[in-house]
Amino acid sequence: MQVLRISSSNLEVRGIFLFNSVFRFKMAPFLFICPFFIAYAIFGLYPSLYGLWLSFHQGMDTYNFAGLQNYILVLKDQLFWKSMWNGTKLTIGSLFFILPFALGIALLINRPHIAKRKGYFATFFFSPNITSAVAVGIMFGFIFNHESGVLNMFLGLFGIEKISWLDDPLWTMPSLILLCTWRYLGINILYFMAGLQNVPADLIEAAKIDGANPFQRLWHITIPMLRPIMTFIVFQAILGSYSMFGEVFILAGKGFGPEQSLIFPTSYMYDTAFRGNDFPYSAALGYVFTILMLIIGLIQLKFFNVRNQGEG
Amino acid sequence: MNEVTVTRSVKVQEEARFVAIRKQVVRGSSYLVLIVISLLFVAPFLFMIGTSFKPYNDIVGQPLNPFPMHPTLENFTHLLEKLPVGTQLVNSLTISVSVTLLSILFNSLVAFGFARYQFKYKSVLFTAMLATIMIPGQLTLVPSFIMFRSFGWLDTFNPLILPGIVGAFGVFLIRQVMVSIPEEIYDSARIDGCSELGTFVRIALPLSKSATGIVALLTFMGSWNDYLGPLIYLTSDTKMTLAVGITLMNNPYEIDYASPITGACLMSIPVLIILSIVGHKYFVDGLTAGSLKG
Repeated sequence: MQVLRISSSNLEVRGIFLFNSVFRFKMAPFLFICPFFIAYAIFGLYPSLYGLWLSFHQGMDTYNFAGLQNYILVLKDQLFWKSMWNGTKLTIGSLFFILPFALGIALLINRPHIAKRKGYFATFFFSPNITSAVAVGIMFGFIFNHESGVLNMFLGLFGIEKISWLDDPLWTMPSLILLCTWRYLGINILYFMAGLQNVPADLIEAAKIDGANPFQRLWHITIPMLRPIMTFIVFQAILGSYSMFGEVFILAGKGFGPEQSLIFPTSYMYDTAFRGNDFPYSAALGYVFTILMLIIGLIQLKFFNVRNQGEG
Repeated sequence: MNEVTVTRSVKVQEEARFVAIRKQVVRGSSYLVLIVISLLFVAPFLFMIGTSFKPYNDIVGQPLNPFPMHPTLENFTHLLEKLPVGTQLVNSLTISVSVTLLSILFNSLVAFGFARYQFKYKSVLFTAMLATIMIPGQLTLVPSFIMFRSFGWLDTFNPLILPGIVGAFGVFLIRQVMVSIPEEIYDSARIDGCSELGTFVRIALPLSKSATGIVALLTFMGSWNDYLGPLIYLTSDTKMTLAVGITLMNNPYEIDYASPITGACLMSIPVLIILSIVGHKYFVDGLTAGSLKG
């Protein structure tokens, strides 16, 4: 009797366990992860494919097949290349001005006697990043104003003549880079601070004992140790610069700025689609832009990888 | 002999004092540099907030002074007359809060699936998901618009909420934390009779709070500050969000410096308050810790 009961309950337990394990290892994971793939199919994949179809057509309401016509037009489109060139200028500004600046501040905040209060400083520098692009655009439109702008007034105190920040095509890009420095420095400081936590203190200490000066320590230890996060930061900076929209659109008065000096790919796509009503052409612009971004992304990854192998 | 040691010890002492002073100076100056740069970073906010409380004469007359000498609320009342600020504030909040709540649920569900189980094609699916980060949003700008138009969703909140409820970056961040939860905890919960969904709700969700919090905050900020989405999908004044609303009131017949900047002030203040409350304790530390493992 006793033996029988045990074996039957054993069987029951095994049955439940079997059912559970089948559920656990066959169905459950897919049930959990399916929301992402369903959502991406609807909101990402389908529009992408539809955009591809659209880019081979022309027309306003009825679309007629046009082959590669749109792509040929895009490749010959001066305005499009101007917008990409502006993106390149902003990228250069981010990579060679904003990122080194951010690294410098991150190193400063990371010093032992400041590290206690690093939360406060990081919050300070981070606050522009969470402010809306619109508010930032309006704010800087105010600051850069030629006649009554705060910046010109301030420079006037030192006897510097008024600069037409937003009306002179020479000055629009520096203005935008200033705006982006203010807005994106904080997030890059945070990224660098995260990376600096991975730099072992004893390694720095050992280099100090061996007589390495602060610059040698920075160049030979800290920067190589930061490479993994640097790949990510540089990627973000490049993609962010080319994808710039809200700030620059508001700063340029919802247009392209003087002599199209503030035209950016996204503003151009928006303008083509929603002011020019040329959806197929805008879709083709989107595809060319995406392909260029993927190429730049791959080149960048390759560059960082190659250098990694070279030294590792 | 004795004298030599005395002078040497004096020398050593002097040297030590010199080193100490130099250390103090370096420390002090690095603080000073940080504080000056912080002030430069706060200045635009000060001007924005100051200007929105200044009467018109002071805005034009003394723009360099960030502090309102004759504080007034007339800019705000003027803005309220021009723009349905209350409605648009509620719209912004409705959209942002909906996206945020849904994104907490769906991102952590997917993250749980990837963190907890071993299954066929797992690494392929995970890589495919991460690869979607590489695709810029510009690709789907126009086709999404046409799709949502065919759904009849123009001038509704759906196109602004649904695409944002789950994303590769959020899943990745939460998964990084969930992966570190030891298997034994799940097993003991299972033995105690907890279902698979139960282990998610009772164990994985509470233990990954730090990452989920960051994803929630990033989602909220992203949605609250979104400009392109509402600009494309919303048309009527009463459906508009504040971010686009404040840019739409430019009247060519009226030179109005104050209204846009007052609107900008109005929409920045909530996020600044959120940041200053949860900021340095939770957000900044969490973000650095979260991306550390990445």
